[in-house]
Amino acid sequence: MSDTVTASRPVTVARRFPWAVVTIVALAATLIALVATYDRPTDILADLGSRIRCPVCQGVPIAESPSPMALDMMEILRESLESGASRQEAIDEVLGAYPGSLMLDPDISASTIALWLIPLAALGVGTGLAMTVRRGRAGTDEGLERSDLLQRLVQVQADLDGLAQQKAAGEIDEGAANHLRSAYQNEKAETEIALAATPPGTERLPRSGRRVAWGAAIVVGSLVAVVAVAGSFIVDQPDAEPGVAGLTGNPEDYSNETLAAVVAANLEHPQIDGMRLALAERYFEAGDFPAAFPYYLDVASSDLATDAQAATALTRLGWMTYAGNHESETALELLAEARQLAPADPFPRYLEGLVSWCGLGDFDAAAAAFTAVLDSAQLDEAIRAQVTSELEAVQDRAECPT
Amino acid sequence: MPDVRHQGMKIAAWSVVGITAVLAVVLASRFGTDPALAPSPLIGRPAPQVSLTRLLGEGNVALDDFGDDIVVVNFFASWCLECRLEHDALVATADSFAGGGVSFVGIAFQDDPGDSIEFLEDEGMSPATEYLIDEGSRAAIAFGVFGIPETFFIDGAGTVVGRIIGPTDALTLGSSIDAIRRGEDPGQQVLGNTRSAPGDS
Repeated sequence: MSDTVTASRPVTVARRFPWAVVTIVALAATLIALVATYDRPTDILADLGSRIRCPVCQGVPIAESPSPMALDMMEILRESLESGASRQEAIDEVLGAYPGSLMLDPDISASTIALWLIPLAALGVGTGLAMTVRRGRAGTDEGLERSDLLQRLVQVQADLDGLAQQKAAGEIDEGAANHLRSAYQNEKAETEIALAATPPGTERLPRSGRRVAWGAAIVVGSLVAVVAVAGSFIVDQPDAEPGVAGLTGNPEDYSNETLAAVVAANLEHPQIDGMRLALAERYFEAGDFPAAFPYYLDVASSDLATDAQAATALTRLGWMTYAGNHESETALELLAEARQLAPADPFPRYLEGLVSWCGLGDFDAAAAAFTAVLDSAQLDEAIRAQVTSELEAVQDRAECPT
Repeated sequence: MPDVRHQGMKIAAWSVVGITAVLAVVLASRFGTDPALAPSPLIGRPAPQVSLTRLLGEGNVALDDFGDDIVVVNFFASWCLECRLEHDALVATADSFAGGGVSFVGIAFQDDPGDSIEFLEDEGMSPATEYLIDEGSRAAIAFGVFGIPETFFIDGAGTVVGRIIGPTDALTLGSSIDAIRRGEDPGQQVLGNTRSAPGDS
């Protein structure tokens, strides 16, 4: 009686408080699930650290790398997780600026799907090969058995023939002969049945050296192809040749600041005078003589400048010396140097004429210079007309117009 | 007469060829996208907000302290040979663009501050450049640096618009700045080797 009461008590409680029971069970299940799935921050940190590849190491996770970069990444991960960041947020915090995936187990995506599928494909092909080989071996075994059966059949027939000869010769009595014949005939019947069950064409084939050679060649050739194709795609990092790149480029493409920086960073470079001269010309044409002056001076004094470059620099220096500083004598010296370096260039000679006329009032020297220009050079018609006009003015002892 | 073994060999051979071809393509594509040389995901995105301690002097400098300037951020270290090779170009370019709406920032990467200062004293320093210490590699990680030298360009709107991997030169620096001034993105350029740590080759 008391057993009945005890047994019915839980049922009574459950019936009386059904929602309480459901709630308790649900809470318990939730608690168990939470405990089971709870990742402590340290566990997550270790897990993430073991899955993120150190960017400055060779395939080593940051959790295992002693490099300062890896240690710093682990520290950032730890801080992120402790501040309540999710796994993905912590990963983004560390890897957000890095291209590609630095995860050692990359997510499946269009670019990584092949990496996941190749092992599976290899497993499938390997299994298929194993089965094919096994089937081939099984076929070989059947071939051996069939030949054994054939040999056994011949032997049994020979035994039957021998038994008949012994009986005919009276070498064996009737009872024993019948017993042996029965045994041989049974064996013959069993062998014939076995032969009927074994299909022909499964005999061992002779090993083909050519076939093996072809197989080996295909495998080796394929491996070579892998190396060749993959190797052709390797991005070679160029050798470091800093400071001189692009000096042969068109100076017109660059700003004054860029040209100035290139010149300043490559003072000893053999090709720098072209860049220096281009920059000086820009300043000169803009009327910024103070900015142009040091660059022309560098070109004019450079051992590496060509005669044409040096002549251009000296010509500009001569003109700036006259126009900017009104130092006519010095200007004439510079222009004379330029003329010696580039005798075919009429421009220094023309400027000599102008400086002589306008700076010194030396009409004879000016006339001589203008005459030389008109005599010696292939001049544009407009320029020829201008020089002719100026020569006439000088010959008339006219005042310099500028 | 059917030849089971021969069939198996054919299947095996073609399987090897097929797998090899797929493997070659995959390996090739992976080599072609060497992460260290792949385009930085930062390009086209706002520059990381980092605030770093001055190497020379006191106080911190944040990248957004430079306002509307174009900012050139260079990661260097005293132990980095390529950094010495490019240093003249950085100094010259910083000096040349000084006052023209272009700011230069040199960030010492995993380097002892004393060694960094000695490096600058030996190689020269530009008064137009802020030299900073990257404690805990915060800036390097925020910029996705694999090795140094690396140089990043930030336009006036605060967007990363260019990256140079390896030792740079004045023409590349200047022409990149010229491009940004014209409203173009210089993008990513690979000029040479980088080093990840002292002794790295």
